[in-house]
Amino acid sequence: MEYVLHIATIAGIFAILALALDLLVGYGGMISLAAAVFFGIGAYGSALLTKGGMSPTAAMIAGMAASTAISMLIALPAIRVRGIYLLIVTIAVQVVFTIVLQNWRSVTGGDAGISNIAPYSIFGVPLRGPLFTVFVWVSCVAWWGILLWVVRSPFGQVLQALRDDEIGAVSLGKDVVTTKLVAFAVSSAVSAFAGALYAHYSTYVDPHTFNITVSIAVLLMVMLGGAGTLSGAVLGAIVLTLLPEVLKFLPLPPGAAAPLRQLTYGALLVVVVFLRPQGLLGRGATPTPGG
Amino acid sequence: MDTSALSLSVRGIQKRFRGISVLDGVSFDLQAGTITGLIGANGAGKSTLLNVMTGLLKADAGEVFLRGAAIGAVPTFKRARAGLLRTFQHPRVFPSFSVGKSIDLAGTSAKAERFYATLHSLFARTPARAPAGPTYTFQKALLAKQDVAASSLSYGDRKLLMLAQVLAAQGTVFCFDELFAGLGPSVIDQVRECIVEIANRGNTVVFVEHNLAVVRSLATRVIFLYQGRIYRDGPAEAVLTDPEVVRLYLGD
Repeated sequence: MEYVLHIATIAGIFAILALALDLLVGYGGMISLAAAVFFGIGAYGSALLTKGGMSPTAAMIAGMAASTAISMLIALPAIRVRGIYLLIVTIAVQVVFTIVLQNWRSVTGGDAGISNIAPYSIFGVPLRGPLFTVFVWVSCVAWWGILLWVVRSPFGQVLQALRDDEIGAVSLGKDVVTTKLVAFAVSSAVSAFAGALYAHYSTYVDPHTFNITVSIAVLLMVMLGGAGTLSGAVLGAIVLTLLPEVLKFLPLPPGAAAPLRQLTYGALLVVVVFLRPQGLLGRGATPTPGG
Repeated sequence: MDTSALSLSVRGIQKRFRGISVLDGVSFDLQAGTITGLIGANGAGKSTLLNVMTGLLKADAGEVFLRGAAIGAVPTFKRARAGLLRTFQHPRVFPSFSVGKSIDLAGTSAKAERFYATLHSLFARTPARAPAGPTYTFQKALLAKQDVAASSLSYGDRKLLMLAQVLAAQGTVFCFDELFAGLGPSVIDQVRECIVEIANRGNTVVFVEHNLAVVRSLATRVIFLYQGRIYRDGPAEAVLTDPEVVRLYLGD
């Protein structure tokens, strides 16, 4: 039961992270491999501030604000480039972030990370076990609803228009720069929210949890479920969290188990990408990066 | 010179690509309510001129004025919001948008597109802006396809969708880049009628066109571009029958 709850909690946290990235990648056409950066800022921010005596909710909000502020510093220069170039910039940001986490020992604790983070609590009541899992999924559904509202709003329509055709959008008077910046800000804030949940859940953060492997996994979740569909992001997060767990139950010889799991995992992704490049829930062609 | 009475003015526009001069000192003024045809051979600089006017390209020298205000440093989207709109020679539509959503997108005000307007609407339902009813037959035909994806429209329908979009965006200066190419005869008549109506409402129209029959029937003034310079600029009939223009444009 504990195991099931653990998987459900992790899936919910990654679903929020995938929703946040989908706004950028699926709706804005801005491919990013820096999801774990904002996830990490939220996690470390909330961890450090609760250790400093702040309530988890206040620390979470502060972490979201910090993540948004840092995302603006990155996005201001980054959105001048598109497609593969933006991807490279986000990879660079991700790598620098990991190096900072590992080496700024006085603040981040270096490779040892930060442990004994208090569990999440609301008005002093700690949320543990099933209660926390429910909280994760309630907030996931709330973000899902808010983001659905955002992408259907005139703002969200402009975001999708500039993904489709940036020159066509500016020629109709659409403010591409501001729209991209706001999308970055919202995506980073929601990622940091997920990060704070993660920190209080695992009670421990280290650089390993927020490196490029995690960013790749989140991007895969978005792509697998179908970039540009919020339900796809949630589905992708659930499938890619469950898949490695399910594969653990395959009757494999002990030595071969781990590599074979990896192989099956990779093969399944390749099959999906070839048979349904638009993702499991995506309709039509995948949007071209940068449009 | 006082340019405030004029709708759109370009002054001494120069543009070079890798050392090759594409526009070399182009100047003209457009009065509100007029229709001007822009003709010239391929490579004469017509599309480059429209790109400089709308801000997609920055001129190396010269200035563009919209109702007297210099807009050379103003980004394209702000020029569009100020009423300077265009269509493209190769139709640009938003592939993931339906026809109806494309037109809605074009007609949505800049204010409604701000993010805080979205947040605000989370808590207070703002009434949706009633879309302007279709006026022209082609608009009604497009509206019948409002749920069709823009990406699955035919070449001609994409051009009509671009026209419907700029109509919804409510500009005052309209630049049409080879709008008529690829349209059927009956649709050409409708689009022509639509453009006359745009000008009759006091807006300025400048259009690039290779179909001289269309130019003759629509433009009151024609500007002939030749190798990046204005070679002739005057009443449509005079320019179109000028032997030099005929020789340079149509060949021997």
